[in-house]
Amino acid sequence: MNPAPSNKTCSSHTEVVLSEDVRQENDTHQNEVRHEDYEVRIEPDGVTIRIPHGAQLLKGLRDHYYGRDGRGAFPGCRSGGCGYCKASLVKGSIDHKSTYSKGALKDDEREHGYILMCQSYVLSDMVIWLLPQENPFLRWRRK
Amino acid sequence: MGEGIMRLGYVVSRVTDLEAARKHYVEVMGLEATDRTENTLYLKGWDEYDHHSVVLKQADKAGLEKMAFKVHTYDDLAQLEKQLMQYGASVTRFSKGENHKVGEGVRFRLPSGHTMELFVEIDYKGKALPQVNPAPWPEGLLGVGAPRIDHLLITAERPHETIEFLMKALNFYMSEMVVEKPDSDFPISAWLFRSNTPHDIAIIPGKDEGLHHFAFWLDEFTELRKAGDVFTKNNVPVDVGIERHGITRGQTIYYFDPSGNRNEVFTGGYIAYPDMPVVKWTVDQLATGIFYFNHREEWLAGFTGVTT
Repeated sequence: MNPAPSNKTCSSHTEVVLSEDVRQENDTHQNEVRHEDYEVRIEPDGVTIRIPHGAQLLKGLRDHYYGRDGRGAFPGCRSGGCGYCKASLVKGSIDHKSTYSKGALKDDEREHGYILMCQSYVLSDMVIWLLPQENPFLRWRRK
Repeated sequence: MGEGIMRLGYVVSRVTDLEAARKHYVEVMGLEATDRTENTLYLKGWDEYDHHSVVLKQADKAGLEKMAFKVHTYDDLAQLEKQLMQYGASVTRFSKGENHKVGEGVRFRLPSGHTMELFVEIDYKGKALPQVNPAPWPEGLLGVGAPRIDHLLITAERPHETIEFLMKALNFYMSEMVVEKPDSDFPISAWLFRSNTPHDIAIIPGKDEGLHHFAFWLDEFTELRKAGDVFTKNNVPVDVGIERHGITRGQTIYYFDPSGNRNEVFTGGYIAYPDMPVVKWTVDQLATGIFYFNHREEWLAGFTGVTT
């Protein structure tokens, strides 16, 4: 038995023929609870985006929020080091990974509801509050 | 005084996952691991002959633990120690072996809070090439295959204090600086050197003790293209590039290591001599100074503000 899917062309359409193993795997998935995309409201902008169950919160924002509607691209490290994606979790449930820089997110900040979006995986509808970011050269450029 | 500081010797970088860091710096960047302990990894590039140029230390936060500059002679070290004390720095001596494979030296803090050390001797490891009739490059390099470390860029709440300290107490030369207006001599940022490149260290505004990046040299522009390929193949988060700097005229890709420390692969730029006239960039042209090709204002806050 060939475990890989193969294409069989019929007269009017292309049908994907799955191996028995893959069919069984799909059936198993269908028996699990199916999650819809979750609504994530991003404050203070009030923008709502949809992110799939278990997806990384920052990836959701990079796909649907940053770099759109005049907003800049996300510039942070995406690796739990810089803290640029630190946000307040106002409402909702996440899985927050444990290996990240305590310089980016201090333990007391974590206890007070702050998260690193690059370390957060979405488990429910949620509301987050993004923190303002400073331009280090701004004080010289304002004059 | 003799010849003073020779070059950037090594950086000690904190990482939150040492094994992920090893994989990145050895398998993606192509550095050679020359030694390791349970919590520390010592690395060098193929064209470097000292025992290490990068030290990775397991820690609960990312960032720069310290930087160490290599000095020509022990007489120079003593003279620099005297200058540091005259400048008001609190200097401590460390003995041979306190830093793995490194001889005695001095330790002090910059006004920005960064720990800096000066040393004269470090164990000789040798290049990945013979000293007699060498080929131009060695076989078997992994990934990017970076030949050596080049420079680092740190952040400071009051950059001018650290710039003045480095120039007056340690005899660094300035190649370029950011100023408010063309006739201003107050450095908002500066690129300083002791070797023959436009910068061994640079300082920009930001938090004290911050690391903006440390950089690896690549020998030519096309190696940046290969580095970019390697980064994407290995899911390395690329920050910016390929770009050209107005400041230093180098070419670059910025990216992040697995702990979120920013690194750079850098090539080009000019030869810097101690008597070179300082180049000024007015702060209104900063975007062009940093990224000459795209010079996008909206990149500035993120690029300069993201540090570890």
